[in-house]
Amino acid sequence: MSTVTSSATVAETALASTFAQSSTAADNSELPMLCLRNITKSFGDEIVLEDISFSVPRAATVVLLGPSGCGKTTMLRIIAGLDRPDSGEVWSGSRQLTGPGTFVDVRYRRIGMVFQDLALFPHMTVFKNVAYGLGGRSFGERKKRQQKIVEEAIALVELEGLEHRRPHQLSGGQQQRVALARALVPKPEVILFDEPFASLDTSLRVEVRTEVHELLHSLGTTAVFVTHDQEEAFVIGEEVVVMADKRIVQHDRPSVLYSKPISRWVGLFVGQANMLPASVCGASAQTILGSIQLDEEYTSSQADVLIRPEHLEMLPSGSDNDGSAEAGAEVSTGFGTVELVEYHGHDTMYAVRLADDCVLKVLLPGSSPQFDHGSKVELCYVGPPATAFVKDQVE
Amino acid sequence: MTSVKKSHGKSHYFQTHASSVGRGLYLGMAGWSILLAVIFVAPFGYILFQALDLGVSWDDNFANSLVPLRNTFLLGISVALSAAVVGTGLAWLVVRTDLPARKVWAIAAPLPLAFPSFVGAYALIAGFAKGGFLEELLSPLGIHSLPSVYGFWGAWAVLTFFTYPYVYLPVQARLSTLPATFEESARLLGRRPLEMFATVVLPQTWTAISAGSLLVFLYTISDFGVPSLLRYLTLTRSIFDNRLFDPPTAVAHGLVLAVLAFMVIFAERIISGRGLSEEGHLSGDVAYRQALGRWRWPTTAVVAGWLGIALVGPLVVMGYWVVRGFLNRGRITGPLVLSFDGIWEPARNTLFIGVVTALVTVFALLPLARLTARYRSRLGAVCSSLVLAGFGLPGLVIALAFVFWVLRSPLVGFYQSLPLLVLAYSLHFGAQATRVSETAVETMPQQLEEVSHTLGAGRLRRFATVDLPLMSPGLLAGGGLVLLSTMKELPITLLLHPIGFDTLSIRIWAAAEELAFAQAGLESLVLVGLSAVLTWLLIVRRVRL
Repeated sequence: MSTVTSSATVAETALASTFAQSSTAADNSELPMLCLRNITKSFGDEIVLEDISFSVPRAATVVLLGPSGCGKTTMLRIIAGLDRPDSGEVWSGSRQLTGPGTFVDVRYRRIGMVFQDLALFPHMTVFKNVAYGLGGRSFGERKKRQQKIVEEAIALVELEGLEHRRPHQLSGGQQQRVALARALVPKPEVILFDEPFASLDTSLRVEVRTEVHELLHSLGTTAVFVTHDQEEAFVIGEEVVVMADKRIVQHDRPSVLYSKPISRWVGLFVGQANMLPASVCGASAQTILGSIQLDEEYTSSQADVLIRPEHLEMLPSGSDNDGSAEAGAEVSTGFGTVELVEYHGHDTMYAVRLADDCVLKVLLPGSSPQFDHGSKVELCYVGPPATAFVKDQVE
Repeated sequence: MTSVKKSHGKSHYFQTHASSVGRGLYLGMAGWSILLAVIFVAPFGYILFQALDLGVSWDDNFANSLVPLRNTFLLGISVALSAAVVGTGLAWLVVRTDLPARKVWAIAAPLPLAFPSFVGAYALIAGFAKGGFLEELLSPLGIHSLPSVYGFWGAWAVLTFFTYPYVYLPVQARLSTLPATFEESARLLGRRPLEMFATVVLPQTWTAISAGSLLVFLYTISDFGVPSLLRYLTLTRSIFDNRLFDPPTAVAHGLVLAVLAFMVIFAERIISGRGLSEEGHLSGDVAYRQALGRWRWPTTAVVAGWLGIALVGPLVVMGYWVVRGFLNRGRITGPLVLSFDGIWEPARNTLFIGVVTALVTVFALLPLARLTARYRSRLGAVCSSLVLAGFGLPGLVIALAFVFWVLRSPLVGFYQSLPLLVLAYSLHFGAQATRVSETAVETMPQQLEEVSHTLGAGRLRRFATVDLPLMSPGLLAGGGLVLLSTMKELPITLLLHPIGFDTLSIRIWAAAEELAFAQAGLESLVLVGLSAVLTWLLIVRRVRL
């Protein structure tokens, strides 16, 4: 799937029609595919979810992102109908799945799920695993039809020829695809993914993730992912719901989350970040790097400015850029020493100690490191207007 | 890189071999193991030899085994099937559903193991006896005559009630490692709870169920007490009845039974060997809980009823007769005869012979366990599987072989002596100790032995200060299992016990045969009490709730 040849693309378009999500009822298409309202859940005395509301648009992928133990998986299980919330509602289009006096049984919800351990049945072949969602034994025409659906699903995830293998005879990536095919076959309205790539090793994870992403996109499947990996959330999610400590903290597109996090915690949780102390005056902040333009007017005078490492530029100190930097209104500078060099190949992360005890992370592109440990450097902020968090703001 | 590592590992292995076991000791262990294997195979070989020696003929001795063979087979199959259903159902309800008071049932479910099956048979007879407990209970309802408990149905019921834990325990263990996501996936993919059970739970527990059922089958065809008390002609009964006046027939029937038993052991080996490779190792930390819905309370009633009959029923019947006997002290004959005087001696004998057997068995098998588990010796593996096969040989056949052998050999003085009794027990229950001892040796880190060696400890000191303390929990468990089985054993005890050395099972047997219900009740209560303590310590406590 990762290598898309022209013939594969044709085949995929043909197959996709079987599993593509059809917007059947025209009046429903404006409603969100999945909608949660005021979900609260506790196990015994311990509250695990508090007043959770969000919705998933048709054909979109929404990712629930949060540290482990924040209730993401419980959220997913409530959507699937494996757990009952204490209060709140779950809607699928105009159909209420969970609500006061309503609880649609798991098997009537038309929701598919891929578990972290995949839960492929070890005693069944790939074919039988994929066919499982079509029901028990069937005969005649119905059997032929079902066989065709299963074969198509197996072709869709490019596992032709492996139909008669058992799950333990497959690689991790192949197992992942069987699980996906199995979830797709009953044509669910929504597919839930509970940290599906967690068990794969790093290089494989990226590859499988791309495959799944591509497939979900081409089929127009509505999907909800759960992950604690920010990178994964950003890659896969059209919208990301950040959860922390039983609640939703922020629900936005990934780019908004990254550039304008709602709190200091979210800013640090999604991606690398520096928090630079500053004194604020209106829409401008005075920092050790000089004056930095802020994204809006702030009332408080003391704040931390969020600075992404790639928004800093680094020059050898004493170069003739000095004068021009001071002249430019949006460029601000500070002097420091390189303390740590982490070379990643496509870019390099530096830790730079500025004059007083303040260490900033700086990310520079380029296939070879430009600075050594101990280099004297000069930093300047070259990013867009920054976000600031006032000092007394408590998470 | 890898090849270097490998060769290093190999030389290391040989080094250990040479340094921590001297050549002499290794040969000693090997010799001892061969001797053990020979002893364990001897009873079967002797029966075979006897069959030839006594001139057993097909027409006279084998042909008449067909009826008892058919009955044995019928009883074995029926009990195995019903125990499979009960054991699996109960395990599933306890581990994978929202049955109320699951922990209580989880503790109670394996406890019927504490009852020797012949005590169960006695309880059934005493319960249904004329003028007995059930009649008194039911007469206000206008029911005055109870059905006969003798024959197939009685034997089937008693054996099902007291052998289902052999299925329950492995299935319970398997189910508690099954990841919840299997069942959840099945539900999400649109299957009803029953379909989910049939397509996911059952295939995943199949090995445990079939291995457990084969064990029940083996137990049933080897059981002597139940078919005898309930008068159902099986092979064990015909062996026992013919042993004095028609030895060739007894030997022929013993041979048939032994072959049947070995076939079961063989089948069990194949099934568990294949099962592991097909089902794979699983570890789920969260159990799936199927909501029982409106079936919740009816199911609870059935579970409570079953365990009530299995556990409380026999105790109530025994207690009832003991109380009636106590209230009618001084009567000389009949079911109400009750004497407290004779109770302590058989109780003491039971414990004494059990502990001696446990010690002898565990220490006799320890060198073999070391050979197999530590040195991975092929010789050890062969000897070990012969010892394990000894478990399949029915106790009555072992006893029969010993009786015939001793009476026709210069060792006739050992007939019905304590050493011979202990030897026979050890042969029968050695397999239980072997498995546990091998695990005990395996779990002991070899480095510790090497460390103490480098610190200059001698071989004897090393064994006493390092090996033994580390292995003792495992050995204790193995010994405990042997003790428990010895206390509950009937046919070997019956044939080989020294005159005047009565154990509780001998007394219960005698009293039950004479329908002295009160006396049998008292002795059964003591025996069940003792074995319940052991069952609790060795089995129930180890079950993951």
